[in-house]
Amino acid sequence: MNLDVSNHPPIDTTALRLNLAELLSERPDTAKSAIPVIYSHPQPSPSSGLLSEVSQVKRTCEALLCGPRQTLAQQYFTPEIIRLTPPLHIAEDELVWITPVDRAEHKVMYDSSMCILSGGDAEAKRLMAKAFKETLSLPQQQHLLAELDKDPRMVYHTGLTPPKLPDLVEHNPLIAIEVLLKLMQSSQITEYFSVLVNMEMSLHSMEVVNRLTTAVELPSEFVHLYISNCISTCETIKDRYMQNRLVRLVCVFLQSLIRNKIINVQELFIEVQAFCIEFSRIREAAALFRLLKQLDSGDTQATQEPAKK
Amino acid sequence: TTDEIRCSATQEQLRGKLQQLRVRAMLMMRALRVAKKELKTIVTHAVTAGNSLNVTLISLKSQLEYLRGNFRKAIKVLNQCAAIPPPSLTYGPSLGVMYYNNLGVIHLGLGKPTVACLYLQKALQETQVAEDPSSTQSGDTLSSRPLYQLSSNVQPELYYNLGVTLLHMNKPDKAFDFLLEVLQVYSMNPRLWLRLAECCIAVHKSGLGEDIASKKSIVQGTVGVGIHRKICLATCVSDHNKKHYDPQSESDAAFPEPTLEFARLCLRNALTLLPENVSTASLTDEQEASGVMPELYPAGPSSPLRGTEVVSLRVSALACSAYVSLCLSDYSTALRHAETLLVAHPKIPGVYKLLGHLYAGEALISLGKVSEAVAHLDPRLVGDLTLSPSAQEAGQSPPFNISNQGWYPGTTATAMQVMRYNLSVAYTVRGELEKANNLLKEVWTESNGNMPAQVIMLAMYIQLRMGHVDVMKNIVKKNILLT
Repeated sequence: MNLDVSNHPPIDTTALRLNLAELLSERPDTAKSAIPVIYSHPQPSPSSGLLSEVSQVKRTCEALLCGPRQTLAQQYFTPEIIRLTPPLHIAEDELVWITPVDRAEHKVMYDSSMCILSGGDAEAKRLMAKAFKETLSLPQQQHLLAELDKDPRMVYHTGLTPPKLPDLVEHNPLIAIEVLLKLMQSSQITEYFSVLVNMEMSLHSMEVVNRLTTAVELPSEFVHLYISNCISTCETIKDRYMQNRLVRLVCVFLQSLIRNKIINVQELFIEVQAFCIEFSRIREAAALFRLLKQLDSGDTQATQEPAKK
Repeated sequence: TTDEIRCSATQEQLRGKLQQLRVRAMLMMRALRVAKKELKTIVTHAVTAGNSLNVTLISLKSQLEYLRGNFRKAIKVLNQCAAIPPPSLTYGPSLGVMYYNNLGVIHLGLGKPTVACLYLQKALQETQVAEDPSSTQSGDTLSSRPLYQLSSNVQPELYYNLGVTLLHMNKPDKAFDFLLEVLQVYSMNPRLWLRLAECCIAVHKSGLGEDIASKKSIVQGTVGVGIHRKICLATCVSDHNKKHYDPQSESDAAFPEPTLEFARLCLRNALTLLPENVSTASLTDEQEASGVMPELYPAGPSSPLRGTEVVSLRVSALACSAYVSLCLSDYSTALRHAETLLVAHPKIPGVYKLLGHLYAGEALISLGKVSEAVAHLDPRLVGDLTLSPSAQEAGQSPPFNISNQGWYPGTTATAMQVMRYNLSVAYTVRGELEKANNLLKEVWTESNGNMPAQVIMLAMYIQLRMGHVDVMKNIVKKNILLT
């Protein structure tokens, strides 16, 4: 291979050079600033080495060109910036000071009264709220009654108000009876009575009043008012079948009241008598009438004349 | 009546205890004058009642003196512990732990980290001694001990003190291990994250040698003999940059090892945890006395941070972030941190201002924006090199003697030289070799023969770029001994 190029004309390298310049112009200055590390540094005195000239050259070339990683010929150096490391942060009061204290003073305080009563409370309230809307099952009723019995003041926390009484009476008359009995001492009872009196007459409400009358001493005007209400309801009801039913109920109710001597017949005599005559077609009304007669004649021998139609 | 007497006695006791708690709170708030008054009343009470001082009071007195900067007096007060009867077992932590730990704290304040380290290690030994007698039963060592003993465990606090002390003693790898343990318990303390990052940086730096390299490293050696002899220069004199040798050993950056990647994460946490817009106004005496609370930010296990401390923490964290980013070749992040550092507070210490400009300059050079870099590397920007915040606050803060750890540069003159050197590098990169050379000559003459290797290398570089190989060889001959 002939390496002698002196005969050949020099090739035009301007295109190459332009390309190179263009490429280099896109690079940042730092990328263009490297220079090689090897520089010629000949010894002034002639060498007295053991090796011949050629082998010296070869040796030098090997040292420069061969190597495991970056050979000396490939290394370069660039201007270096001095980068100072930042100092450690100075803090005034950084370390932790230990203060010994009597740790036995730090006792854990338990509130043992938590969650004892409120559970029962919440349960009773829940059942009561349910009782306004639907009939409770027997175990539920018993549970609620037991809760009410346990704590006499509980009845005030059940969320019962006079307007809600009719619902309670309709769905759970037994509960209503117990609650009202417990509320007898309170000042609100008159309000409850008025509600009871004015509510729509029904089997349940009569049952409640009946039980109330047997259990406690009810104010007499209340009972009278109730009876008047019942009678007027019977008279005004349109449905024949319902009327009959209600009349029968009222009669039984009145009989029980009379027999138990809860009401004084004399006070209501005329009203009840009129009622019986009006509904004389019904067996119970006739029986009630006979009872009235009996009492009347039995009570007063001579003073009062038996009422005649 | 006896009942009333007993009632008032317990009332007195309660009042005493409440006063103690009050003093402790005031010491944490650094309301020192008020604390001193209150402590005086408690002590006179105790003395007139006939009781000798108990351990708590001695500790509080000592702490007050420490915070006021009277370290010798604090040590004297603390030594009174020997004269009082030993406290009951329910006192926690134990006397030994308290005594050695607080002694260590005082000595670090005196600027003697080695002595402090000894005391703190003794305190650690005391904790282990205290635990042994009670751990007789096997298993269930926790539930067999009463609650007050468990709450006296101060191991994280001791580890924190020890970690910071070791960092000041320039033993960053050990410090890193201790501080990592504290991180398990107190992970929301920005100062702790900063200390961890400083450990990583110190570990990295210890592998580098000095910031300013020695002359011997300039020339790698010679190759060949005779006329074929070649001189080989070094590729770089001091390499701060992270070397990536083998890809297999690349562990996850979040793995807690003292590496620069972990430092980057730590610093990010620290900067996130630091609150913004803190007020640096300190309370006047009247405000202190009337019970006005300063703005405090939690930094467990230490006392909470005040506004000025938050600002100085942010400054340190930003400087470290810029440095770490530069080492990891993340130049745009480094520039961002450096610029944030320079505007962090109107009165940042001179050292951090210098670093801010240097880092910004370097980042801009590497990003190719040399003209902006030149604006940052102005030697006129070098002010006085103070580490603590500006002088007007110095009156209040006690003279804590943690030395500058021999930080280079110690004087304004050397700082100016560094700035000028970096500026001449900027000119060189831009191609203005004459300008660079003139500037470098100034630095050369000022350093009086004690110049850093980087200066020599830059001089050689400039000569080589200008084509003066013989001048370069002259420099080598005059300044570096060739083997």
